[in-house]
Amino acid sequence: MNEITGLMRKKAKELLEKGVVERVIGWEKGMFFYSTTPVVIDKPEETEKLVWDDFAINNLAIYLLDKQNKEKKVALFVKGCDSRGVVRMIQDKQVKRENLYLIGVPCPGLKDPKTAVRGYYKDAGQVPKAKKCQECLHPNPVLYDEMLGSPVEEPQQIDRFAEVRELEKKSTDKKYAYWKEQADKCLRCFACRNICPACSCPECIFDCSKPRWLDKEVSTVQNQFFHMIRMWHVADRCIECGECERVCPAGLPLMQLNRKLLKDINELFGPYEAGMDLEQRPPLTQYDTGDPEEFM
Amino acid sequence: MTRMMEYIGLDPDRLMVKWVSGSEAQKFVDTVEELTEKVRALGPNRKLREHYE
Repeated sequence: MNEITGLMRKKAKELLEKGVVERVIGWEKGMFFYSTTPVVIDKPEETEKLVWDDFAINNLAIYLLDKQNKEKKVALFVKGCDSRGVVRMIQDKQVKRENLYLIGVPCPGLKDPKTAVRGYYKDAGQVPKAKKCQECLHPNPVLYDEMLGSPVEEPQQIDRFAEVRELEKKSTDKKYAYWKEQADKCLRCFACRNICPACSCPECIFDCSKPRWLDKEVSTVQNQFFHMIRMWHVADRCIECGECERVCPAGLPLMQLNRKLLKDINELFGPYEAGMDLEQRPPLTQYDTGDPEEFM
Repeated sequence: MTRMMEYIGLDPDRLMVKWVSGSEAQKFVDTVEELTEKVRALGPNRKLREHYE
């Protein structure tokens, strides 16, 4: 990984000095061994800050939505999940492809800082792989202008819907009790919404006060509605990066909701993975006379 | 939608989506009656309602 850090710094410096891009978004080292945070760099001499290590887990795609970054030419380091987020945003016309310079970084699977803190680990080597990285099917970037290092092997035999199938088997009342218990934990901090590369509305339905779609009160029932609405809003645009679940301070299994919708979409509209291809449109944004009408 | 309701633990029978044109008065009446009968048979909904829990 040190080798890639070196390449990253060199590349970022070169791009900024030549004026190919106005700013670079990457990761920098924080105070502890497990804190690696996103960083925005616009001066060539600051590129020494950039790092690539076990905890560079943040999906950087979401930073493209920042107004300051939207109009400028930006270079972005992308892992597999980041690149799928970028593809989604280009498809949603949130960012322009020509304003982006994507530097691909093959990802060996990273570690969750939260696990490192809670497990009282002393160094990065002992920390287990993050959940989202264990379930990842595409560690190599799908869209990039240039790749640092050589691609890693893509895992084949991961059933991404295993958890969903397990839960589906339970009875209706048990499922209701399960989700009620989960919603009870939710603080409605909106971390899941803010980190999501599929959530790109400038004004969110949950912030809108006229009409008030959802109460501001944090109660179990309102939380249940919140998660139902959030899940439908990302539906076929969810790139399965698992960031919502990673940042959740209450530890809600949010991917079980997102994956259920994706599973249904896969069953009803054929195999589909969001953000894999710039040309492929999400099934729920197009109409076909042959579409299934299960409950009409 | 029904699949998702089932997954969250709700009764999918409480949902009805039907296409009724503005000129199809009888169809509209029939649809409402059909759903009312269905829901009456199911009884009141206790889920997602704070004051029942």
